[in-house]
This record gives sequence, C-alpha cells and structure tokens, in this order.
Amino acid sequence: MDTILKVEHLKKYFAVNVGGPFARHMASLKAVDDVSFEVGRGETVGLVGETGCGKTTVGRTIVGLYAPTAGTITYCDENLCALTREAMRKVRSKLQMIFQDPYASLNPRMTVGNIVEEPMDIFSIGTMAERRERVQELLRTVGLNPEHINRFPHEFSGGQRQRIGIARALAMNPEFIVADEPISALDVSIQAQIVNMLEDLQQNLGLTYLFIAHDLAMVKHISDRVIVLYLGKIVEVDESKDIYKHPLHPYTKALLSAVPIPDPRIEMQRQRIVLKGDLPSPVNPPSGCHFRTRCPIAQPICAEQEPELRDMGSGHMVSCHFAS
Amino acid sequence: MAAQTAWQFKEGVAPDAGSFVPAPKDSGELQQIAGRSTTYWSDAIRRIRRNKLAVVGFWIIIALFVVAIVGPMVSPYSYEDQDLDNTFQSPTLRHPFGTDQLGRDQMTRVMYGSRISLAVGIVCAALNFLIGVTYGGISAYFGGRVDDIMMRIVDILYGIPTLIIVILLTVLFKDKGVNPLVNVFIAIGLTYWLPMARIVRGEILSLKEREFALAAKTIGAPNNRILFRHLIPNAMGPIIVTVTLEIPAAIFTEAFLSYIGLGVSAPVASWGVLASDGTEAIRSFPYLVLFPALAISLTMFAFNFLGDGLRDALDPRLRQ
Repeated sequence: MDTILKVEHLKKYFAVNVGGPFARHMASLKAVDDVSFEVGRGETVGLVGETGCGKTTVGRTIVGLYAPTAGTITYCDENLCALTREAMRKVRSKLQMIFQDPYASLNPRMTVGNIVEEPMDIFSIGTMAERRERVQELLRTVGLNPEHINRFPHEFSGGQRQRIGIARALAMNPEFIVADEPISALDVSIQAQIVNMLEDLQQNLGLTYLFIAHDLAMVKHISDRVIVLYLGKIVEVDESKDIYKHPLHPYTKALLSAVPIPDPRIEMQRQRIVLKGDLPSPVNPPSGCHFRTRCPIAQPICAEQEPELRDMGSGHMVSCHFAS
Repeated sequence: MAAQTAWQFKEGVAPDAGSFVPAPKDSGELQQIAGRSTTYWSDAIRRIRRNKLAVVGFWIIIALFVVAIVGPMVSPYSYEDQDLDNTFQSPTLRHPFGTDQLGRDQMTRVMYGSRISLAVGIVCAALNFLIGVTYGGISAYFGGRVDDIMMRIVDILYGIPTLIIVILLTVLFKDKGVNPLVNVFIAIGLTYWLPMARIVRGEILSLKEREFALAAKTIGAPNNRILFRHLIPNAMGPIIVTVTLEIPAAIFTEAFLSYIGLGVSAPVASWGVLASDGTEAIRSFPYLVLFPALAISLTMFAFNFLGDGLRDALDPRLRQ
C-alpha cells in the first residue's frame, strides 16, 4: 500500500498566558508533542483519545489550519509545511475536512447551493451552469434532494447539515479527508446513516480518511487502523481488529473498558477500569511517561524515563515500559 | 442512508406489540424538507412588524425623505427669498410655520433643513460602512499586532472631541471658500466610524473562530473572501443596528454645531441654524424655535425607535 500522508515528529504548541489577567507570563501549551504516523492510500485511520488530547489539533494542522511548531507533514511526496501560501491553497483541494459541529460549520447566510459551490468558485472551475449541475449531483451523492439547493442551512436537521458539509468537502474531488468527529454532534440513528454513507463514498470515490473520534465503537466499525493519543502523544497504534482484542497500553485498556456493551447481562458482569484524577494540564505535563499520574501500574522508572514507541510486531506500536 | 429505526403501523390494526413492523432499512429516498423556506431577513421583518414603535419610526423616516426631496420643490417659496413686508408672521394658511425676521417661509426652511440633516445622516452611514466596518473587520481578522496597532489608533481618535476637530477645521479652512458643511462632514467622518469599528471588531473576533470560517479556509478561500463573504455578512445585524443609532447622533451633532455657529451659516437653513435664530426671538415668537426643534426631536425619536426595534429583531438571542 503506498503512503498518501506521512506525519513526522509533528509538534504544535500554543502560547498561553498563565500569569493571570494582569501579569503577562507566557507558557506553551503542548497540544501535539512529537507525533509521527503514516496513512496508506484508501485506508481509514481512526484517531482516538479523550477531550483535550490533541486529536483535533492534529487534524487541523494536517489541513493547514494551524502552522506546526516543528515536524513535517508529507502529502503525496510534497512537504506541506514548506509550501508557500498560494501553493498550499492549491494542495488543499485534495485535502479536505469534515467538521464536528454541523450547526457551526455552515455559513448561516449562504444557501446550500452556494456553500457547496464555493470551492469550485474559488478555483474558478467550470461555468456557472456547470458548477450548478455539479452541486446538484453532489447533493444527490450525499442523499439530499437537489431541489433544496436554494435553502438555507438552518432549515436542515443536524444529519442533513452534516451531509451538506460532506458535499462541500467532496466538491473538489479530494483524495484525503480529515473527519473531525463528524458524528459526535448527531444522535445515534443519524450517526449510523452518516458513517455508512462515509463508507460508501470511500468505496465509490477511493477516499482516504483520518477519522477523529472519541466513540470507540464507531471507530472500530469504520477504521482499518487506530491511533490512540494521550496528552499530545501517541500511546498505541494497531490494526483496529486487534487493538480491541489485545490492547497493550494501560490507557487503551481503560478506554476500551469504558465502551458500553449493548447487552445488560454482560454489561453488569464486566470490570471497568476507572482512571483516577483528571487529564493533567498540557501546559505542564508530567515528567517521563505522560500517563504515569493516572496509570494503575506506574513504577518509579515511569517518572524518570519517557517510554519510546516500540514495535511489538505486525505494526502494533505501543509506548509503555511494561507492555509485552 | 441505512439503519433507520422508525416504526410504522400495519394498516387498520390497533397498536399492540405485534402490530409493529420495522420500516424498510434503506428506502433509497432522498432527504426532504416540507416546511416553507424562510430566510434570516424575512424572519427579521416579521418580528419588527410586531414592534409598533419601530414601524412608526420607519414610516416617519420615509416621510422625512419624501419631504426633504419633494418639499422644497413644490413649495411656492424658496428658502432664501426674503419678504420684508411679512416678517414675523404667525402660522397661517399661507405660511403654515409662519415667517422669520426676514419674512422667509419657515416651513420651506425647515423642509430645506431636512435635506442637510439627511445628507449628514447619509454621509455618516456611508462612512460607517466604508471605513468602520472594513477597519474593524481587518483589525479583528488579522488580530495580534495588527489588531493592537489599529485599535490604539481608534482609542486615540476617540479621545479627541468632535467639537475640537470642528474648531480646528474652521480655523484651517477660514477664508478659503470652503463650504462650512464640509467641516461638519469631515468632523463626522473622523469620529463617527469609531464605535462601528469597535463593534465590528468584537463581532468578527468571535465569528472568526466559528467552524464555518475554518471551513472556508480549508476549501482554500483567500483572506478577503473569508472576511467579506463569510464574516461581515454574519455581523450584519449589529452593523445595521449601530448605523441606525449612529445616524441620529450625527444629525444631532450637525444641528448642535450649527446652533453654536460652527456648522452651516445663513442663508442656508439647517435645523440647528433655524433653532439658533428662533431662540433669539423665543419670547415674542416661540413658533420660530418650535418647528425646527420638533423636527429634530421627531427625527431623533424615529431613528432611535427603529434602531431599538432592529436590535430586538436582529438579535439572535431574542429570536422566537
């Protein structure tokens, strides 16, 4: 499988003021701290982790919404971080994003037609009539009635709006789509519709997805591989069919134990691993292993030495001193 | 498109456990909307119609425009024609607002004054849109250092009173044959876009973090497109409200400047000049100050009522 996207040692720090409202004391918030991974063409990679672990930052940096602090993002042998603004704008047509909140991601003052047409308008593709036709075709692709082309976003339901967002992302025939929690704002029956549609689109259009989510059941369903992030670092990477059966990192184990099982009898018997405390502040992360403050098996070595991401065979990577 | 969990009744059967059949998993139908299409503006118009004061204000403003344009044209008198045989006439059918110390028809002069007031209002609105909105938008969109510098400039200009600017301009343009109205326009131009710049900046600061602005970036929209197509149209509500509340302030400033003799001067009639002339004779001929003063108050009320109504109608938090 050829690699479509390669992220190497990606770091994204945000400057934050920690000195209170009157004292100016800047610190860096390490949203993403040395993350490397690859995505193969036609693959779906799930990116999971709890709120504040840097999932969204990784996605937004890849599509160029944030400039990385360090590291490189290589897309089809082109280093995105080295491109000029103008060149980056052109590459973006192949690299699209689906947003989390379908209520906020569509401009409320534009009609659906204009929203979906906009990417083509920006790159002056085709005549106005051709673009209109393409918009109608796109709306049909995502299961919306093309007659609603002149309606405004607020007239649609959440699921329908997410379809509009997907149609917009598809307008430029992208190859790679970053889906930033595309279903977390929808209710469960609609989630299934959207995920199934994303799968159909992937098959028909040969798309590659980076699927960001915190719903592990959904990630298992859609992803080929899963990357688990904790506090801006990768803790575990594996094929999704394996990681759910044999998680190695204690954090992944805890995450998986929190997935509800739709059978009350099994649900009652199983053991949950409840993590103590909260996510430490990314402004001042713990020394050594970032997870050690909440880890049930932490040892003194965890505070001193940062675990490397080790290959445990057949692409199963884990960063824990005690994983075997 | 699949996995629908809706349930349907079998035809003609009372609903019990057995009468439910699962809906087809994938009907292949496209998603439909049955409701009538409503836009943001049709919604706002519907709400503002319920506000009686705002509607009254709106019609007074329309009437004002009609009077300003048509009034002096159809009037048998001109604003500067003197009739020294008929000075200080009380209101009669021939002179509904009476005549002044030089026998000029007061009604024609008040109607002519409305032209100046509305011109001031239009200039103020235009500058608000051209300078205020663009300036505030750019400042907020680019943020950081750009924002700091641009907003400090606004702060400095804010600190200079309009009156001082007008006095300086009057000294500067003295004996240069510049129409004194130009002084007023420049003074209003320099000061009245400032609140607008601040309000637009605040709006854009919050809008630019919204996901649709990020979405515009990911589809490759250049900065000016994001600012003028995505962000500013979404700030249109507060912008329009600010304009309708800035216009009466500008009109009042002109009237005030003319009243104290820094604005337009005789024989040109502005409401401020008329009120000033009228005050001199207020004990003997109170109607000379009454009508310009009424015109000023009526305009103030009309614009402010409309502005308040628009604010309520366009504020998304008050939407019903």
